[in-house]
Amino acid sequence: MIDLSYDEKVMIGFEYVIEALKPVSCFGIEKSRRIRPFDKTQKAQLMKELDNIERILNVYDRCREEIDILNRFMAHFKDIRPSLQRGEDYCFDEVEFFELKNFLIQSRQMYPVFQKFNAVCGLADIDFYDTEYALDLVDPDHTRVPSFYISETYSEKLREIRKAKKSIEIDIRTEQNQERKEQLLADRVRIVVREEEEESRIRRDITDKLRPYLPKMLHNIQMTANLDVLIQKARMARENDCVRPEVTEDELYFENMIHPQIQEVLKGKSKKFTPVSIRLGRGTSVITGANMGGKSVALKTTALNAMLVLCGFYPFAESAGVPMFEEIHFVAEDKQSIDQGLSSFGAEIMQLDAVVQASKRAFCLIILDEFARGTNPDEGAVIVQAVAKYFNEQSSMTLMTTHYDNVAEYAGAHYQVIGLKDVDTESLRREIAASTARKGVDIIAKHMNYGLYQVFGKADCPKDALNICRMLALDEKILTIIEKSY
Amino acid sequence: MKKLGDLIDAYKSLSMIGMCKNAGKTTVFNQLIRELNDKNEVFAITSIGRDGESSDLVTGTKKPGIYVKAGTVIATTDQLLKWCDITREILAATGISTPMGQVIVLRALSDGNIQLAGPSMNDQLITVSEIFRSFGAGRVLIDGAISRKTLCSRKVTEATVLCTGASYNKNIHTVVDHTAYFCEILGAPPVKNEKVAEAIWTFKGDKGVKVLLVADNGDSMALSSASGLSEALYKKENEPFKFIFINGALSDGILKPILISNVPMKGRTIVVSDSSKILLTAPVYEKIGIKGASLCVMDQIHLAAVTINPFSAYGYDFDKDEFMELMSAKVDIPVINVEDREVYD
Repeated sequence: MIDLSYDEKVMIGFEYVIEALKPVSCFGIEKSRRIRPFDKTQKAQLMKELDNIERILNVYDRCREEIDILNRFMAHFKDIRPSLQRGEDYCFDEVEFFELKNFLIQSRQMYPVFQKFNAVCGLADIDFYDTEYALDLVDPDHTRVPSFYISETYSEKLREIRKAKKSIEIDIRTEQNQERKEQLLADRVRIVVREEEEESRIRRDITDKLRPYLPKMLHNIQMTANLDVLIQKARMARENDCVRPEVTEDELYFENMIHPQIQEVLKGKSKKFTPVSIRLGRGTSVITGANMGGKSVALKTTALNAMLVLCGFYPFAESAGVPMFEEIHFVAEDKQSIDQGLSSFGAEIMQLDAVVQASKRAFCLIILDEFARGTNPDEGAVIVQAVAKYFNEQSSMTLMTTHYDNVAEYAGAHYQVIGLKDVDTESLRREIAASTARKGVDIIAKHMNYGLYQVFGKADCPKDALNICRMLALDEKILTIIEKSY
Repeated sequence: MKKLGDLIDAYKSLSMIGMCKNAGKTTVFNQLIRELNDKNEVFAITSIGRDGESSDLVTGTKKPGIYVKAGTVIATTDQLLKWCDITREILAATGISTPMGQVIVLRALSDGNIQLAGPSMNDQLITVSEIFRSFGAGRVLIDGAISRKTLCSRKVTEATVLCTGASYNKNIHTVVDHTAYFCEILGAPPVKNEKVAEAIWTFKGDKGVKVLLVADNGDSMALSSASGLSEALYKKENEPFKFIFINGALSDGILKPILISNVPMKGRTIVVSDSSKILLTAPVYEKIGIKGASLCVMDQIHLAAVTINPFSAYGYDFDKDEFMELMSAKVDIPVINVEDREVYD
């Protein structure tokens, strides 16, 4: 599966969702940053991921307390992986032993909670190794206290050295004669050297004994990351009424899907997001519709939710089905290329070519936002018609928005933004007339229906632009000229 | 207060700062450790920046090492652990990183020599102090930096000791005068008006605000640069703004335009976040008082004593009695001679 670029992920709102996932552990956070779509060969894994989310959701209320405790435990883990890696070749130092011991103590506290939780929940492929033996190695006195020292229990020799050290230190404390004190301090240094030698031998010895357990600890870390991300995916699904998607063969559908990031922005302006429903087959589908009608929003919402499904999330919709795409491509006005001095049209053509090549080798979801928007309308229409026709004959699914007429007839399906279709334009005009022109834009937005409906047969783009000009009381003379040319 | 031991009785936590290298800071630190050892109480030590090398890296003079007793709680960095010859128990890895590695909290299980390095920011010192307390160490000693970059505010230690000595300058009067001036700055009082303090706290973190004028009732006016300050203070309608908070370092350059003009300064208070921000030369500092204005800080430190070291690292010494006499006359806090054997051994 070829992943979207970071910029594309930001554009469709995928990065926003990843940010909102908020895993609690350092391991989960790192995993969430590396979430990638499942490959077509990984359908079984995708199903397993969705199954696991469903299992957590099934017991979410019953196991609320266990989930909270698990979250708390996971949040406290420190990332010991650099140390574990070093331990493959080198001897652990005492701070590393301290951190390993803490990790092992936290693990042994967490695993029983997980076992209790999973006895009810039944997650597949999440299991933790028992690491009690490893803990015994760094805690030979079985104190299970989260501090570490090289205990005399490790060796009788160390016990004797420390005894001698202690005795000389007591002498140093009480010795008044400066010369004898210096001698005692010098003797102490000799003991310290022996202590260091023995401690270093012990550290080497424990490291050697721990080494076989390092892969198990790494496995447990991986499992913690997986569990963390699963729990947060379930939480997100629950908080947003997301739905378990179907993995389909030839069809992509979403019923009443939303885009959480755009919804959030609208909420800030006390506006509501109008859910989008769409159904695509292989070939080209076209969305046409009014200016200000939210066509681009519909595209982003589709791209985001399709991407989420392929990454093992529940999508933000009431029902959903997505096939195992091999690639997703999102072609929109590319600000970066323009900044680099490419004309917007030039950049688009280059992107288009890449997408054409992709559709030859793989089953893609291709999304084109207002392709060729910048070029002259006569040529633009011809180009877009050709693009629609070309992709309609490919096995990939292509969804495009356009202003141009006569594109839809080359496509397999045609959607229109409902826009102002069902609005009494005359009463709307009166409402605006009673207000100021600036407010007029808001009033139109309020009446605009951002939903999509499917058009069957030939239909031109709706002529809402003229309606909007009229409602906003554009100068009468210009209006007359426009109307004459229609 | 004649002896360092009296400081231990008076304060639960102490920090040290030095006027210069070889001012006797580590000697004072070791002496305080010995005093605490005799009390059989669990206490904790750390330092700002690095300390504890057996010889001074700059001048090569012999420096006293730090020798602790079993039971002492210590914050130092992981890289310095190998230079500590105590048997030890690692208690916490703080996650605070320094140029010398991560700050680690440990407990001495034997007596021995240690090397100290600690965090360098007040917030981090507060975190470390909390960890100390969680391991039962109520008393804290912090070996401060030689520069005044970081001062331990009262949030970190109850009191601070300023260490000065012959190494600062060959001329005894220069040492005494500069030390006295530094004491004066370190002793800057806190802002007492709560409404004013609250208004300043709100803006302190805002880097866009360079100067904040505040009235007694908490009303404020923010300036984005210090250059418009004298103009603003001159205006009649700004008369109620009695407090001038400088967000950052207070240098001569900021104050000179105000102090050498006829801007009304009588009864006005210049405020900075803490004494380390006061970078004024003595003549400019004195002008503040002459103009009838005063200087306050948001985060006060409590200077409890000055210690003097009559021996320099550069082959000359002062007369200890003369040094004591001159210093005592210039400051109104206790002066303690660190190299005075009678007090010491």
